[in-house]
Amino acid sequence: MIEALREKIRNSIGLKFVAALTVVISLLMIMGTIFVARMLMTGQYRALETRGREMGRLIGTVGADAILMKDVLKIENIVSDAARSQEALYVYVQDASGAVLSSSFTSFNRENPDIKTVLSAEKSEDVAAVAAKVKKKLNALEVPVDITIEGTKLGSVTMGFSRTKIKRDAWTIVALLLGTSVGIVLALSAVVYVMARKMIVAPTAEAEAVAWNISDGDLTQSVRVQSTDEFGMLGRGLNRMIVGLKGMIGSVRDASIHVGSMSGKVRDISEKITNGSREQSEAVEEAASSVNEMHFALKEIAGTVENLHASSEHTSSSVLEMAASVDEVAGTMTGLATSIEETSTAIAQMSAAVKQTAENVEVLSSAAEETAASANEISASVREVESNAKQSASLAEAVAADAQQLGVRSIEKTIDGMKKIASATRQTADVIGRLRERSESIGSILTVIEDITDQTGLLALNAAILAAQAGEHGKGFAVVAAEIRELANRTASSTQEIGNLITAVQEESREASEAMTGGLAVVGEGTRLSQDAGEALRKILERAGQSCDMSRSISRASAEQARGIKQVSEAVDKINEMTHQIARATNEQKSGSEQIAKAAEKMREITRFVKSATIEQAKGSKGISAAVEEINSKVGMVNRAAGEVRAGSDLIVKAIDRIKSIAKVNTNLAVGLNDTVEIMASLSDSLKQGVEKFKI
Amino acid sequence: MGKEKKVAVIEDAVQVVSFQVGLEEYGLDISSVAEVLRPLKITPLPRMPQFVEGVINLRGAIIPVVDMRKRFELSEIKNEPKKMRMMITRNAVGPSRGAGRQLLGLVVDSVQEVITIPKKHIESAPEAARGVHADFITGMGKVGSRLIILLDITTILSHEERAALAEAGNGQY
Repeated sequence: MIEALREKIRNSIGLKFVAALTVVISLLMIMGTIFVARMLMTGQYRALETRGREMGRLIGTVGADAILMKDVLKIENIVSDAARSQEALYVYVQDASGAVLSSSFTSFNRENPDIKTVLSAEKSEDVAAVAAKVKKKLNALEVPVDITIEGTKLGSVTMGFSRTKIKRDAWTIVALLLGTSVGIVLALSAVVYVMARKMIVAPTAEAEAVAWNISDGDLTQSVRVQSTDEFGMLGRGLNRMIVGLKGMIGSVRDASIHVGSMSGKVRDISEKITNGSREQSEAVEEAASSVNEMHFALKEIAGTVENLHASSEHTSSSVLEMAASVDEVAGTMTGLATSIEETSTAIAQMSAAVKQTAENVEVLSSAAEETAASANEISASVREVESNAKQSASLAEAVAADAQQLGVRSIEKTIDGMKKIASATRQTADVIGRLRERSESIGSILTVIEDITDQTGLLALNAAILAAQAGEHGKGFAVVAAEIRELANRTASSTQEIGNLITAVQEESREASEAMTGGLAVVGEGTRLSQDAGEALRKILERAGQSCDMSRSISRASAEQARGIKQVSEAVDKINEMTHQIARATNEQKSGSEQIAKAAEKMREITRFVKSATIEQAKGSKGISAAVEEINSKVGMVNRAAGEVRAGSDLIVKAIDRIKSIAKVNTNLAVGLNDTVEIMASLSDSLKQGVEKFKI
Repeated sequence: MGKEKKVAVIEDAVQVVSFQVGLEEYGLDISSVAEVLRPLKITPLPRMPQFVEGVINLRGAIIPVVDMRKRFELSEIKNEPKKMRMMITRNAVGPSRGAGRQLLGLVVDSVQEVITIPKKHIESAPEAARGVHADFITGMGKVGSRLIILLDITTILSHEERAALAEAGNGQY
């Protein structure tokens, strides 16, 4: 259905206009309608709000006292009246603390069916909560108004209004507007469609019909032109085209008739040309064959001349080669002569060298004999050395054994003895030291004794003095004192003696100690010396062993040397023998070389002769080669002339060939021309037929 | 022999303590010797007379000491230190001869013994030996081959010296 409509719109320009117009106007109308509806609703809402506010203020003014007095009955009355006013859904009054003063029974407009349904579902008695639910469910417009007297807030009146009636009014206006605009669109579309049919479709259809006639070849019809607009201009153009076509087709028809008669004539002429060219081609073929024959004959002549030339050149080259080889022979001859000369001088030198060799060999022989003699002497002395070395080895062994057995042991014993002496001496020294200490202590005791003795003497003296002073009474005491004094004197003298003895003992022990120290040093020295001796003996042993080894190795080496010397002497004997042989051979060689020298001299003479002969031959061959060269140059000239003739005939053959090909091309062209004329004739016939079709 | 009145005489012999100063042997009458000691420590006193060595402390008594070697001008002669003795004498110090009871120490080289010399073996000192300062020799005693010079203790010190020393010591008998 829609596809069919779209097809119709595509085929009719009028419908295209109508569709475009309908869409544009419909869009404009819808937008306008929406705008108007929104404006209207906004106005209505504002009016409703204003009314609510006024009512709230009125309720505030009327019910202010009642709110102050908390006169619930009066408030209920006022609220009930207000709630039943137009479009009101609920009204409730609150005091300053927010407590609701009106009951749920009076606060809601129970005549409204929507309120009824909401309240029937609601069980709560809290007016504010129920009112909030109602407002939410019915999308009510809520207007809160504060009640104030002289600036003091007493409470507030909250009113809810229904939006349903306002919306309904707005929808009514929108429906009206849309209906009107649909009518306008339909009328406009009809007008446009009719105008398009009358002013565009009809003239176009007439022009189309005329064009179809022209395409069929009917040029008798023309377009009726009534208007001067764009369609009128199209019709006039078509008419002008028909007139032009009429003239052109007339002239084409005349020309085709003329071409038909002309093509007949052309065909005759072309046939004649074809025949002529064919004949010409045949004649050219004949001429070409005869020229070819002539050309072949000429070629043969040229080939013969060339052969001649080649053979003469060959001759000349071989003559030249001969001359060259003769020259070479001469050169070689000269070289041979010089080398023979050199050979003969070398032979002479060689024979001289052979002579010298013979002399040298003689000298060598005598030297070899001398060498043999001295080798024998060396051999004898080496044998002596060997026996001596053996003896010294045995001696060294004996020395080593003695040193080992006697020297080392006795020295070791000596060292031991020395050590014992040292220890004994040390002990003695210690004993003497102790003795001296003792005697010293005795000396100190003696000092004490001496002191006591002295004191005793002094006491005795004092006693004697006192006894003397006592006179007669002290005589006995004086005797005792004298005796004591005497004893003291004796003690002093014996103490003195003991002291002297002790001093002597001390002196002697000191001397003994010194002697012991000296003895210890001497013993140490002796020990050291005996150790040195032991070391020296050990070294001697080592050296003896070494010398024994060395003597043995000398003996071995001497034996080997003796063997070597024996071999040397044998070799020298052989050399002597060989030298004798060489001397004999050299003598023989000397005679041989003399004979060789003579032969070489003869050879030199012969060579000289051959050389001169060869030089003459070379001269003769040079003359021959000059003659051959001349012949060669003449033949070359003939050859060049033959070559030129051949080139000329080649050119002729090429020209004939070209002529032949041109004739062939001409023949082909004539045939092509004939065919073309045929085609042209057929074309002019068809043209004539085509032109006949047009009705002028 | 009238001049020997001051030597103590027992019957017809004299008892003397013999001692050595230098090489010579001297003798002092036994009554003038109080004690013989080993040398004690001599303490020199300030502003003391030249001839006094110092004082010693003998069992609490302060006694002035005179070196006899210096007195006899024999100090250069070497002696044996062990044998040196100090003789404590009576009657040497005092305002007048024999009047004083003060003690005097004499340093000598050695003290030998108490000898009894018979008077017949005592001879007076030769006149030539008695100089101005040698009037303290009373005589020469001969004992065998020994010759002992006998001294008078009261004249060993001069009058001035005795006076000077009267206050120095307090040792009395």
